[in-house]
Amino acid sequence: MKNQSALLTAGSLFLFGAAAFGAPSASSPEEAVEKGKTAYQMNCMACHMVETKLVGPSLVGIAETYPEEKRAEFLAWAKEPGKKDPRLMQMPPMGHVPEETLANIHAYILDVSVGKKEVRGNSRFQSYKEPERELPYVVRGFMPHSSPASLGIVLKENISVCWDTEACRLRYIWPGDRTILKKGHTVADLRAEPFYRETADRLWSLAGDEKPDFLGYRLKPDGSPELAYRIGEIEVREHINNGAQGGMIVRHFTLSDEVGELKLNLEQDTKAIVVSDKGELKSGTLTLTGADTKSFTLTISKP
Amino acid sequence: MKHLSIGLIAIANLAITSALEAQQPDWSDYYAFEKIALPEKVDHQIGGLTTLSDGRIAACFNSGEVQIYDPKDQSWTEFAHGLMTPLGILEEPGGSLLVMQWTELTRLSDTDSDGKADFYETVFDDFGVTGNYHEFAYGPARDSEGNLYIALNVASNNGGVFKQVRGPWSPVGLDKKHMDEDNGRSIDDEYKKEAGRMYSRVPYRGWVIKITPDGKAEPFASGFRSPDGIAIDEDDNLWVTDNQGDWKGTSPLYHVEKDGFYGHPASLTWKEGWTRNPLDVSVEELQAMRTREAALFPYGDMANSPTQPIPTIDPEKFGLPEGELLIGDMNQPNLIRYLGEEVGGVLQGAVIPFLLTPELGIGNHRFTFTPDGDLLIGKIHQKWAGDEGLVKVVWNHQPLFLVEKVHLLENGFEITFNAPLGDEVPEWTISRHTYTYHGEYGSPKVDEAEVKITAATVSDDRKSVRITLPEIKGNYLYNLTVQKAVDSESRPLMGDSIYYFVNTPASEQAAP
Repeated sequence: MKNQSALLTAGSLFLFGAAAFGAPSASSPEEAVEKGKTAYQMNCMACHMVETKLVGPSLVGIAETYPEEKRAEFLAWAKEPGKKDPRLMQMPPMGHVPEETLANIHAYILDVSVGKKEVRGNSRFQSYKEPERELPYVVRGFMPHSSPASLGIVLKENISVCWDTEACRLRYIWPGDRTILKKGHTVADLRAEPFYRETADRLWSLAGDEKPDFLGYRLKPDGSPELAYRIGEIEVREHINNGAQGGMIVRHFTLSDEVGELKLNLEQDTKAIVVSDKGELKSGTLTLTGADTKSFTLTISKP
Repeated sequence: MKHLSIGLIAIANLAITSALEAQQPDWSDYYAFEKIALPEKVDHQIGGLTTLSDGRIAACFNSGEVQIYDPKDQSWTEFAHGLMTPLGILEEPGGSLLVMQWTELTRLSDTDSDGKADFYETVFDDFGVTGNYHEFAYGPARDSEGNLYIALNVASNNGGVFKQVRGPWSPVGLDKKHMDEDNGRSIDDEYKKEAGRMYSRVPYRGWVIKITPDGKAEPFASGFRSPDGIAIDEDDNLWVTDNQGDWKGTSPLYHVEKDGFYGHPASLTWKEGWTRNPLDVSVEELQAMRTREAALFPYGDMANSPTQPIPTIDPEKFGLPEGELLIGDMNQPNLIRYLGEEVGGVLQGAVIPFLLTPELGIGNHRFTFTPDGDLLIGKIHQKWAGDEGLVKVVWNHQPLFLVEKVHLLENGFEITFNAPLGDEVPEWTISRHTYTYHGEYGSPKVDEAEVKITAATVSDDRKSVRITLPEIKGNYLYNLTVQKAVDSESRPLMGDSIYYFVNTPASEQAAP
């Protein structure tokens, strides 16, 4: 409770102001440690425990890195930290903490660490592990070779799809399930090369200059998604699911209106087998006309 | 367990401190803290929390699920899954839920009435995303006309950007090739400074966006860094908290108005007609543009990374006066009461610690009041300081002795309590300091000094104290601390340290 700045006195201010540059601001080592403990509790304790590595390294670990003779290095690091352990978050700079207070904190770190060893493998929290998911499973996340606004569609039969909500198109299909389910702000490691990857700048002949607009997706009762997007006046729905046989996916397209002629550029730098139930698919371009443009199905299979 | 202010104690005071500690009032005399069991297969970090119209609770988990909690049988049911870092949730008339996730504001609807969302509708995604790890997105808050407000973080130069980004890339600033080399993971040290510590190279990072009920969006206000807390109060005031860092000397609370600029220059890239590199703009120019804070949370003393503000409810239910904001923090084991007032047309006010007890713990991120008036707290850490889990805070209906109002006078403060003071006149100590507005990360307390009290007068009804000071300085944070304050029934004052940020002194009030 206890905001003891209530105890602020002119005397303490004077004492505070009299500190030497870079040295603990105290008249005795004990006082430096005591002041350092207080400052540690205010500025550091939320992330640094005495013996356990949590958000940041333990005080015991810091004391090993910065013994008494490395106080200057400790101060420099605290004011402009880098990143020593790639698994930990980077510390915010402590420039707002006066240097003599940082020196007090250093004194406290050295004092409290004497005779202690770092405890490893202890976590503050129950560690979250991605559970088994019922497939198909749709999940947003960062994926390679796509915009950061992408969806992973994890199908059965060890097939996953990367679908980019920015470009409103399927980017690639790769053999692998669950690798995209790993959460966080890191890019998923696919652990396998895509067996289908579209390469054309523009998929639809509809597009003109207009950027497609993503509208969202519906989950069918089995969990597979029907994605919706608008290109100009036309709303497109694309339902993605497993095909009849293993290693096969089905993309069923529905357009809000019939158009005279429609072309889909399905060029790929992979060797998947693409089949359309309507129109003509030649040299990677699917051409549809009349009523066929309203609804059609592509089946993509592993080579 | 609140900690001593740096450098403000002398050894001689330590004995007094211990004696005082022993007498400190205990929040557990008034409030009980109860952990609510969470479903097993989700990450127990909570990004969004709201009470539904039927009394159930909806929570967003960091692993991407929305689950519904039924207090009747303590059950959890999955409503939606697969969302990316959902950090806010709101129910709409008709039962659909709006969720702010990393890349869009999404409406989750259960169109076949099976209890699970089957339509994940994109409500708003017309903003940039680079793949940088720091581009959190918050909200929505809704005003009485149904307008929604969301808030977007700026990116950090501790990470880079993807080769493919969403949204137009501003050419003003470091060449993109130096920022996307590692596809989002990092920027080479030699280019970091030129990238800017925090940057906004796609629209509208560092902005609050308003979305009207018919779906039109407008960039509403700029200058934000990491605005985790966004809320609308009953008078339709929009409140946003931000996090200490570059251009934020200490963490602020802003009263946000249209076209306001709230201090972080990176966002200016997306201001209409703006063409310059924000890194080249002088502090003086930015200072003249910015709107000052409605409150400041002294870093380390009260809040390091403030979170959601929530308006208080019926005092009969939770014990706090109505018309306040309650605000959380990631690092400190306390919540914060904000007692605002309008001075010279500017909303400003005092912050006072609430529930300052280890029982509360840290990582207090999202809040909702249940129909019974209990406060639910969702916790988060995102690998920084914080915690996880869901905590219910229940008031035992024992009346608390509280500060009810802090009013800025021309030459001091008037503090009003919710009950008459006891016979003993409590002792006040006042200090003040300011912070430097600059691009460095945070600011030390600047020009810190004790303020001599000229007079302290208790009103006839003993419910208020008028404290007179030699002068009141604008842009200073005043700390008013009282010792041994009890009411006429000997109940201790709960929350004995007040921080009033003098945005505009009463002497500078605009003429009516």
